[in-house]
Parts: sequence; structure tokens; C-alpha cells
Amino acid sequence: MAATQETVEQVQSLEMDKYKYGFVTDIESEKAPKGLSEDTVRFISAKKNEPEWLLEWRLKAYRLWLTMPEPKWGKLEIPEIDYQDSYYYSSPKSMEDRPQSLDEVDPELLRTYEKLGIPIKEQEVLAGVAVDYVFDSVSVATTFREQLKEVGVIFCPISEAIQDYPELVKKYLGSVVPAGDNKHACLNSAVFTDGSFVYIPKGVRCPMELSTYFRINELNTGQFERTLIVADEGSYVSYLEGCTAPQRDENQLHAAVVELVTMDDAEIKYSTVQNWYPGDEDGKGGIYNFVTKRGICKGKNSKISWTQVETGSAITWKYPSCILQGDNSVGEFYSVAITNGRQQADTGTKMIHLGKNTTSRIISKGISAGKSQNTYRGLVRVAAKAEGARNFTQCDSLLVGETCGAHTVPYIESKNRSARLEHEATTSKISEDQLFYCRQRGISEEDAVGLVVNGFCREVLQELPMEFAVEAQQLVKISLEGSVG
Amino acid sequence: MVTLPSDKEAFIAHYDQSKDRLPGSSLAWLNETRAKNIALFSDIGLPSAKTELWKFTSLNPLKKQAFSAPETSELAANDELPRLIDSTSSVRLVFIDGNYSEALSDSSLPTGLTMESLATVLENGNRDLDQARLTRPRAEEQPFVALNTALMADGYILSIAKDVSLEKTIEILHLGSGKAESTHHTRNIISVGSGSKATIIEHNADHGENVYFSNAATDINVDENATLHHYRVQESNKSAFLISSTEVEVGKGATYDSFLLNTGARLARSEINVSLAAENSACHLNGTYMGTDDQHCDITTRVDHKTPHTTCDEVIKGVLSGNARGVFQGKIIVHEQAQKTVGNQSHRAMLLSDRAEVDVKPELEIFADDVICSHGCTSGQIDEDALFYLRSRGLSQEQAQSLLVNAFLADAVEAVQNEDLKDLFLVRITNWLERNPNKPA
Repeated sequence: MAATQETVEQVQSLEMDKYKYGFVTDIESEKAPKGLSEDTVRFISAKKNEPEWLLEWRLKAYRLWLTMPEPKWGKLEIPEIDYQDSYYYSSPKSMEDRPQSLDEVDPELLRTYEKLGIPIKEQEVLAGVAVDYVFDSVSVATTFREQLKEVGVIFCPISEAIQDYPELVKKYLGSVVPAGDNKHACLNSAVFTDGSFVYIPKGVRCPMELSTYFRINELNTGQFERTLIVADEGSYVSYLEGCTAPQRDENQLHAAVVELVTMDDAEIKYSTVQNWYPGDEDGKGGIYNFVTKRGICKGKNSKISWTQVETGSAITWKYPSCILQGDNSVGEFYSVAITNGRQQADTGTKMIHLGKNTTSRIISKGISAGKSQNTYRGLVRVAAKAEGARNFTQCDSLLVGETCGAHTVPYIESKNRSARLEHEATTSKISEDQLFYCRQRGISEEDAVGLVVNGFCREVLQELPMEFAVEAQQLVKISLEGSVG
Repeated sequence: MVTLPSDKEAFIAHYDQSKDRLPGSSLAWLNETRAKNIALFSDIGLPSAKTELWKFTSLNPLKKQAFSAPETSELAANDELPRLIDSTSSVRLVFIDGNYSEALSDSSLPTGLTMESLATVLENGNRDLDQARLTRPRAEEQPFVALNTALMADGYILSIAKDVSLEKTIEILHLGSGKAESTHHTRNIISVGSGSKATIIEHNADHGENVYFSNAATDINVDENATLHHYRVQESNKSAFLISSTEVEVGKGATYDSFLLNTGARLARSEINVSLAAENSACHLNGTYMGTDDQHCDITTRVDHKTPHTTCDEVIKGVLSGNARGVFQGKIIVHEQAQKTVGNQSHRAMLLSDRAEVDVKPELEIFADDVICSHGCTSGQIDEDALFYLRSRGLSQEQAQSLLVNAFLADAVEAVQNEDLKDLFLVRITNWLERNPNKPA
């Protein structure tokens, strides 16, 4: 695990008060004019050479967006967003003639990746990971595509999928998260620039973990990714999503949409490590992370599992959800959300039980430190026909320091008597005894807190694929820096 | 747009009709308070599904029902009055359709207890009612309290002196006379002096099956080191609408202990807000509810921990059959300075029919770090294994079910310390199960 080793070393060598991934790469971009209008939508669509139906779909979403109110129900203080003060499209210039191999890639880009601790060459060698880089909004290099193609797996930027597999995209795009779902998803539908598309054919177990390393780079560009993963009958795929962003002053809007569809006996495992710039000590700058993620277990015995480690962003508004439609389908949600400084997180999940004998499991660990506010908000709904539905929910919160807040807002609705629902929540502070024990063994207070918190999150962290697990543990520690003493 | 008989305009019309004959109509400050509150009510309007605090409780059945403005009513002479506790160990106060009946109430009160009716106090104008008492915190979230303040006609003002321990239980009967479509807005105030102990049990009952709407607001103050046991038995008929809001302020070292048993009403909404603003104050909010047919039972609690070393615990259990719907919303807020808070909450529901529904929203809002808070919720049906065990011992399906449901609910009653009252609650659970035998699944 050379790359992992390197990540660990880089992390350790970091200055304590500097954001790990804070730097701006200087690459010329081709931008859409600033602001949002029908013309912007048309510009993006034309730039992407999209078919007529998609442009219509985007425009419909845009018109709907104009009429929709901002969602205000979260326990978040969101400054007024000036949608006209952002760029909605930018692509690195070297995209015009797409490089065929890594050697042709802009060396500036490669260096950026190196700084990120994921040298692309090593990633290629590193067994089992194909990386679909999103640099700003356009995919730059895709590896292992050929190998995946052999087993019939489609893994490509969604803009390419629109050209190459229009029927598939048309069938599933917006089928899980309709354009009118909420204002942020609606905006995404109108202006999404790129993202990943994955299709796993019947009976195929994807031979490697699929991964996208997101990165926001260009100043003032909100990112609007659109990810669509379809797992056909009896297939399996594990998808990794990780994010970093350079340090800057202006708030950035990020409104992604992720849609997952599983057919009979299929399974999707979706893991996220989110580490965007959280803003400085006074809460200045930082990413607004407004994400709509939802999966539908369409077929019998299908399964969708969300795992997330949320450490970054100034504001996180994110509720990865499962619609358990097929009988015996399973939904899982494992989450670690860490807030420090002036971060605000309002995150959780929705489990909608529709089919018979559907099962869901929610494990949420919230850690708040500094002056941050951390909220778990979740819904478990059992429809009248969901015989034998089963849910177990556990949400624990840990408070570090006197000035933070931890909140738990679960909604539980049961319309079926045979449903068995259990919900538990606890809130407490870091145990003095445990800290004392560590200190006594010569471990510094900061390390001790990192150790205890990592133990607190263990249940969730161990759900992550190997590639992420080590990085995530480091992230947990870094995120809490400056919160003690 | 269809206007329903009891949209907010209907209630505002009630105010216009009756404002001149409400008690204390000669007091300028009171008229002003009433006018201010009806304006507030008019601003907020009746809660809808979009009102977060009323998310699970639809007021449509109430809105579809016509009601008349509050009036005084007499009880037929031969009507029987239900009594929960024997007269040797209780004093009883009787309210008919929200109006105090001196004739029907026990005349001799134990020393240390004073009782005045709100109507008398307002009418005589001889005592300046603490105006602050009529102003609720978060008034804009409580339209029914605003309506109550605008239209209040009667209620009790109970004061318990310092350092007395009342041996007799105070029983308060709220009886519906059976007059159809009547509305009553009662406003009650309880203050327990420092170091005192008292037990109050309120009983909602009625004659007949007619529709009426009772909108009560109670403000309670438990002084330093005092203990108030406040129990409620709500068994109105299944057409009645019972909406109540209780605001409690607990003093240093004091305890507010409440238990609610609800089997009645078409729609019962019981809101209890407790403020623990002094050190070592504590509250217990326990209860059970049973619903059948189209009944809707909503228990909404909010506990504010405002200082260090405060404690609350809540255990609520419910059983629902028929089309009944149960709602529990429990909020625990730990304010910034409230270190060393202990807050525990649990809600468990059992669904006995395919059409019953339960909706739960337990909420923790925590701004202090040195706290221990938890909540737990479960929902399910009767345990098949336990049922099988009892059946294998020769019990019929009905017997076995009734035994298990009884045991499930009895668990919540354990929190009641007074043995006599505990029995009173247990008997009501057993009776309910007998009246509503659950058909085998």
C-alpha cells in the first residue's frame, strides 16, 4: 500500500493550522459567463453537445427552480446565496483535445494530484482501483476503462454516457431524484456539468472498486456533479467518492445529485470521504455542501449501503436515503460527521420501507467540537404494506468543548403493526477517564482525543473499503485539531 | 377555497360574540390582553401539516366540525358525578363545561390550600392577576393558548402555602355536560409553595357522546424544594376534542412529577413544557395512551434544561388498535450553561391492528458538553413467542393478548409512586382492554 503510506506521511508532515489541501492550481479555464439564466443552461448543454431531450429536461428544471423556495427546515444558518455571482461551467482548457494517455495530461494537473497524495501512476498500479478524476467539472483522465469494458461494466463520465448510451441515461436520469425534489437538486438538474455513470450488467461482480476523486479548483465555480449508478440483476459494485478543495475566501456552492438503482439481487456499496475546505477559524469561506443522494432498491433481495465520513465543508446538508421497494431489500447508512471551528452539519438519512420484509440499519456518529453545530436528522417510514419491516437506528453524539452543539432529530412513522422499529440515541462528552488513561501513558492530549474519537467511530470506519479506511482515520484526527487544550 | 365550519375565522367570531360577557370585561388591562391574544391567534392561524409542531396531528376533524361560542351551562340535577378517589382521602373540585361549580365541589379545603375560581377573580377585579402568568414564552408557537387567553372564562387558581404536605389528594373533575358543539377555554394556575408536597389528579369525563371542544391551558409553578405530583385521567367520549397545554416552572431542588393516562377523545393533544431553570430541579413526564377506532392521541413534551444539575426522565407507552393514530414528540433542550444534565426519554408503542399508525419524533438539542442524554423508541406488535408460550399454557388467544398488552402498559405505570393511584391507572388499563378485545390477527 505505497500510496496509503505516502498519504499518512504527508498528513503527519503538515503544519497544524493549515488546511491540508489548500492550494490553487493555475490552469486556464473556459468559462460560461457569470450568473445563471436560461442562456447559461443552453451554453452548458451546447458545450456538452447534448441531445434535444436533455436540453428540454434541463430547461424544465431551470424554470421549476425559479419557483422553488430554499429548504429552510435544517438546523443551519445559511447566508443568502447569490446565484448570479457564480460561474456554472468551467473546464480546463487542455480538454479541447482530450489526452489519450497520462503522458499527454497537463503536467500542472499531475502535480496537483501528487500534492493530493494520490499520484496517478501509483493509483494505476495500486491493485483494483480505477479512478475517474473530476478536475473542476470535466473528467480528465479515466483509467482501467478497457479492463472494465471486458466484463461489460460501463464506467465513464456522464457526459460521455449521454452520447454513447442515451437510452440508459434517459431511462434512469431523474428517476430516483426528480428535478423538483428540492431546490438544490433542481439546480443541479438544470446546470450539472459532469459526474460519473456506472452500469453493471446482469450477474457481474465489478472486478475493482470504482472511484472518483472530486476536486473543486477554479475560483468561483460551484460544482454540480451528477452521478448515476445502475446495478442490474445479481450484480455488485463498490463505489468510492472522495473530495478535497483548495483554500479560498469566497463561499462555494456545491449541489451534487447521486442516484442509485438496484435490480433483483443486486448490491451497491457507496462510500464517501468528504473533506472540503471548512472555512477559517471565524467561519469565513468554506464550501456549502448541499447534496441529494438517494438510492432505490427496485428489485427483490437488493441492497444499498451508504457509508460516509464527513469532515469538511462549512455547511453540510446531506441525507443519503434508501427507498426499499423490492421485497427483502436492505438499506444501510453508516455515517461519521465531524464538525469543528464554525462548521455546521445537518445530515442523516431516510429509510422508506415499501416492500415486504425490508430491513434497514442506521449507525450515525456525530462529533462536534469548537463552535460547531452538528445535527442528525433522519426518517424511518414504514408504509402500510411493508409487512415484516425491520429497522435499527443508533445515533450517538460526542461533544468536545463547551461551545458546540449536538442535536438529534429523528422522525419515525409506522403504519404497519408487524414492523419492528428500534431507535436509540445518546449524547455525552469524551470520557475523562479514557483521556486520563492515555495521558498517563505519555500520549499527548490531542493524540488521545484522536484515539478516543477514532474508537467512537470504529463501527462506521470499518465499513469503509481499505483504500479509504486509513485516510479516514487520519482525517478524523486532523479534523479535531485545535479543539482541545 | 372551501371554508370549513371551524377555520380560524369561526373562533375569532366566537371572541367577537362573547367578549362583552366574558368575566372581567370591565378591566381594561384584561380586555387589552384578550384583544392582543386574539390578534396573535389571527396572525398564526390554526396549525396545519406544515407547522413543524403539528406535523403528525391533523386538525381537519376539528375544522370540519361546527362549534358554538362559549356559554355557561347547568347540569341536570340527577346527573351522577364520577369520582376517582374516595371522599375521605380527597377533596374534589368540579367544573362543568369549563365552569366552576361551587355547589358540586367539596366545601372544606385542607389548611394550606386555597382555591379561587378564575371567573371570580376576574369578575371581582380585587386581585391583580399576575399578568406575567398569562404570557407564555414562545407564544407565537401556541395558537391554542392565545385563543385560550382571549376567551378564557373560568378555571382554577390553586395555591399551596409554604411547607405543607397535603395528605388529601386534590381531585379536579372536568365534566362535559353533554351539550353538543360547545367550546370551553379553561385557564388554570397552580402554585406550590417552597418545601410543600401535593398531589393533584385531573379527570376529564363527560355525559353522552356529543362533540365538544375543550381547550385548556395550565400554568404551574413549583417552588424551591417542593414536590408536585400531577396526574391526569383523560377519558372523554370518542367525539370530543381535548387540547391542553401545560407550562411548568420548576424551582431549586423541586420536582414536578406527572403521569397522563389517555383513553378518550376523538383528538387529544396534550402538550407539556417544563422549564428547569434552577439547580437540582427535576421532572418526570410519564404516561400511557390507548386508542381505538378513529382516535388520535398526541403527546408533545418539551423540557428546557437551563442550569447545571437538572434531571428529567420520560417513559411513555401506547397501544393502538382500529384506525387509531398515536403521536409522540419529545424535545429535550440542554442550554449552554446546563452542564451535568441528565435527560432520558423513552417511547414504546404497540400496534394491534393493520390500520393503526404511530409517529414519533424524539428530539435532542444539546449545547453543553458535560451531559448524559439519551432517547429510545420502539414500535412493534405483540411478541409472537410470548404469545405462543401463553397459548401453550392453555390461555385463549384473547386472554394471552390481553395479558401481554396489560403487562406492556403496566410497566409505564410503575413510575407512579402512590400505590392507590397506581391501582387506579391499572384498573383503567384492564377495563380498556376488556372493552376493546383485540380480534385475533
